[in-house]
Amino acid sequence: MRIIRTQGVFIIEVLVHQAQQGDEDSFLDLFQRYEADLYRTAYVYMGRQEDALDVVQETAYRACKSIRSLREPRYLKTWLIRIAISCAIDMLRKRKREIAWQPEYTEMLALPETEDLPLKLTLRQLIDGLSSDEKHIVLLRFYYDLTIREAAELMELPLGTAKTLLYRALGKLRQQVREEDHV
Amino acid sequence: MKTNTNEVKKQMETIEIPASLSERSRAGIHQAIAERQGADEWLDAGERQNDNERLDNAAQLDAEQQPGAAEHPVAAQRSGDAERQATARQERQPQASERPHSAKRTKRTNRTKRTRRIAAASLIGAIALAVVLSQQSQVWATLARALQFVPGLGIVEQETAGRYVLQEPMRLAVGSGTLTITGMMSDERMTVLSTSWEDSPLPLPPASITLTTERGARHELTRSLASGSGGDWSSIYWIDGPIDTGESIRLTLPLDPPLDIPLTLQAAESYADYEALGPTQTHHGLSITAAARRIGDQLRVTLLSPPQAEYRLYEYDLRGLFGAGGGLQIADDQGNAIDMHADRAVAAPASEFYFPVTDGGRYRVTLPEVFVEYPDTAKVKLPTASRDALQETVELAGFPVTFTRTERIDDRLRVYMDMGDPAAAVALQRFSLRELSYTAEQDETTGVYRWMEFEVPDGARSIKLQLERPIVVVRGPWTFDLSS
Repeated sequence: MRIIRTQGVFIIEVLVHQAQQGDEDSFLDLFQRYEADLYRTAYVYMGRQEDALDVVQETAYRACKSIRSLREPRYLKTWLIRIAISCAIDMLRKRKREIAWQPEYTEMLALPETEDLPLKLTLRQLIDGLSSDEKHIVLLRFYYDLTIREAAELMELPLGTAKTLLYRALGKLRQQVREEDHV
Repeated sequence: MKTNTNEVKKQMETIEIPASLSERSRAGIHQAIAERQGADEWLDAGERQNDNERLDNAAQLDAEQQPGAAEHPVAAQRSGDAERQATARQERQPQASERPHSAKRTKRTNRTKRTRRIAAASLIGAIALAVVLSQQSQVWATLARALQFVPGLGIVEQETAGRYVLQEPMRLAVGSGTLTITGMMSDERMTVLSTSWEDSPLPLPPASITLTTERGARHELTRSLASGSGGDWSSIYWIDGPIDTGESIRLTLPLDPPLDIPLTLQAAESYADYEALGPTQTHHGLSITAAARRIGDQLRVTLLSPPQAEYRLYEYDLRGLFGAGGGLQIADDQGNAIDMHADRAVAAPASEFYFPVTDGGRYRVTLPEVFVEYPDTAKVKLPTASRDALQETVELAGFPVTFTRTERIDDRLRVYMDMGDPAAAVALQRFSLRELSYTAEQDETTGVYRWMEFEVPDGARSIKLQLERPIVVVRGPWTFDLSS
């Protein structure tokens, strides 16, 4: 027996197929599986409930409009994450609350190559302490459990750049924790 | 420093999910659906009118060829069609120029405006979409019946004099996407050209294309029945009346700059019926033909089924995504499985696929099951409270549907169904509920729905359900022996 609301790959593929044929219910079913994750991701970017809801609504809109362009149903979740992050960044840009991160492909930061996170990390540090791209890589790696290679592919960054970005983000978080420990 | 790799998850879980989240998701989806309907209606407004006129015309012309039909006023009909087509084109032009801008404006509206629009759109959304789909299906069915157009091959009827076809599809890079001219047919009655776009840089396929003959005569073909979304589209272009195509013609797409594509046509072969196009098998009264053509190192196969008045072929399920049959299988004469591929943007039902072949190779294509849709509906009234021993039976597409149990889960109602033997050779597999958003449980082996669940209005003691779009699985397998 298979339950439509479970995470089975097969049923996701069926729902994606139906959604691509124009079935609104199937798309709604698919989207609602991930909307909580998408909301939390959006919240980290936006920092406010109403803004995060805007991002989710826009994500639902964009995803529904372009569901037929999704070639591999098994990548639905990462596809939605990508749209959500894109929506969040677009919204931040419009509100001029974001300074775009400039890829520093040649930059070699002297950061320890460890992916461990500080124990006392706070949500506020995630929201306030990182740039959009740093949030992006941290969430993909530690919230969505993507490998660093998968995260790099999703962000369309070279693997080395993604690693640099991740280690820099972790370095910032560690620094914040140390500073707060000293306070 | 001690570390914990789950700290991000822990912190993320502290973000509370607002009660309005689902509502906002629905709002975004309804907005997209409403705009899609707008696009469909825009396409349909002029194009369905044209299609119906063309279909009327084609039916008239078909009738003309029937014994005893010579008295039909065909000449007057053609003259009238030309005027109507011109009028329809004029009427559509302003809409065509408005639509993309309209979509942009909507997309940029602020949240309040969007929510307001959605509230209105959502009320009519489910009905309107069903109507559009239904009408498109009817148009497709009539098209298929009137034309029997098979890309690359021609048309299924006896008279083929002066008919030219594009025998092989042509793929072109357009911007970052791909345009495939999947087929073209031209004779003294009409010229039809079918296209498929993947990752198209255009928001919609061009509204018209131009054909220029070797003698310099230019003919504008208008778009008919575009389907798809995002960057993936399929569309058909059509013009009535004779075009002196000969074997060489130039297609111009109105891009910036315009794109000229030389096309080489060949005289069509004559096919009296579907069976003449390729191996044909019939199971449970449903006949399927596999029309194959070698294209380079591949075989292009088009599955065909004669149109039926009482149902339409809903899905061949080539990829095995729809049912539990596993999808199309191809094996060579050694029994080795061969992968097939199919274009993404094709009008449903997807019926065309390719697979690699070698000279002298022999192959068996097996299609386990297909799905058909009946234009039938049924109504049932069910209690919104939990009931264990319920026996409410209605008939849908000739199959009994018995609601055996209801289960109340918060503000939702789950209804359990018995739709007869799900493993039968012909079995009702699923249906839709009009104007309701629902989820369902599907049997892993047979694919049949076991229960459906949906929200019920506050305070309602019973709910009336309208069952529609029954989908019936017809099990074969259909097997086709093909050679390269």
